[in-house]
Amino acid sequence: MGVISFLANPLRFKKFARVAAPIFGVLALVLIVTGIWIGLWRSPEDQLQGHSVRIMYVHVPAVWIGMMAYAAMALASLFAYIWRHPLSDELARACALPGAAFTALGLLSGSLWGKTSWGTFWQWDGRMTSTLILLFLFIGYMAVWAGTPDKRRAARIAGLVAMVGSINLPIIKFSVDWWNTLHQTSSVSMPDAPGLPPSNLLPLMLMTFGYSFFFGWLVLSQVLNSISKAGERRQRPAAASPTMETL
Amino acid sequence: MDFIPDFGKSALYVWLSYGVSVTVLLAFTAHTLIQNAKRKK
Repeated sequence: MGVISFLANPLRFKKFARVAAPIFGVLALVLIVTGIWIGLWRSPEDQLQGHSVRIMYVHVPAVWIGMMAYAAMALASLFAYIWRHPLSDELARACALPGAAFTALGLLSGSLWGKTSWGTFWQWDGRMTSTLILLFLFIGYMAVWAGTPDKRRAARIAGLVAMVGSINLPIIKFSVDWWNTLHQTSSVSMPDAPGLPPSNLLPLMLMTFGYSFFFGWLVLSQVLNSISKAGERRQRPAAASPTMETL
Repeated sequence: MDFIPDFGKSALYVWLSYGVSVTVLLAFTAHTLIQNAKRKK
């Protein structure tokens, strides 16, 4: 909680974000380029999946970051509801578009992998359906922001969508255990999971951390830009509608 | 063209996955860099 209350001050947040964002950007670039290089050129093909295992190195991290983005969005919305802090709303809003993009990338790359391994692009199984619902939740959240002229009201409704929709996250996670599904059960995150050989784990982790830092860079940059725009609006009060002021 | 690996029958799907992913990341990068440059002006 100490870190959250420290960063809740917009000036301290700006100082932190101005230092952290470029570092995140450089780390993302290095990790993603290295991950793609190893994933496409250096890692061996899988005994069962063949070369299509390489799709996993962009598919799995994309879905993980989509889920992480939604969790961050719901948490920031919760903070906004409790403390009514406009920075939390901006943080939640900044997570939505990158989160939707990563989820869409996860669905697309997953369907391409499914075609090579299962012979079909799509199956209405628990994990695929709940991940598609995650994408719709992101779109719904952004639609509320775009379609509500009063931005304070938009933040309240969108925040509610984010918080209620977070029930979908454990459904995605445990869908492979709860229902019969084409998806395999967890092979990385559980302590008793079968695990992956280092040749598969390395590109997967590089891409996961690369996507995470990329997401962090996008969100911090977006919030910095929002704070800057709000400052400009305050300096031109005649041109701005008071309901547009969120910061 | 030895530097382009041959992924056999999965080639189309592998390259499409990476191609779309990289394109989306580049689009976000370009948009964010433009917004950052406007902010710093």
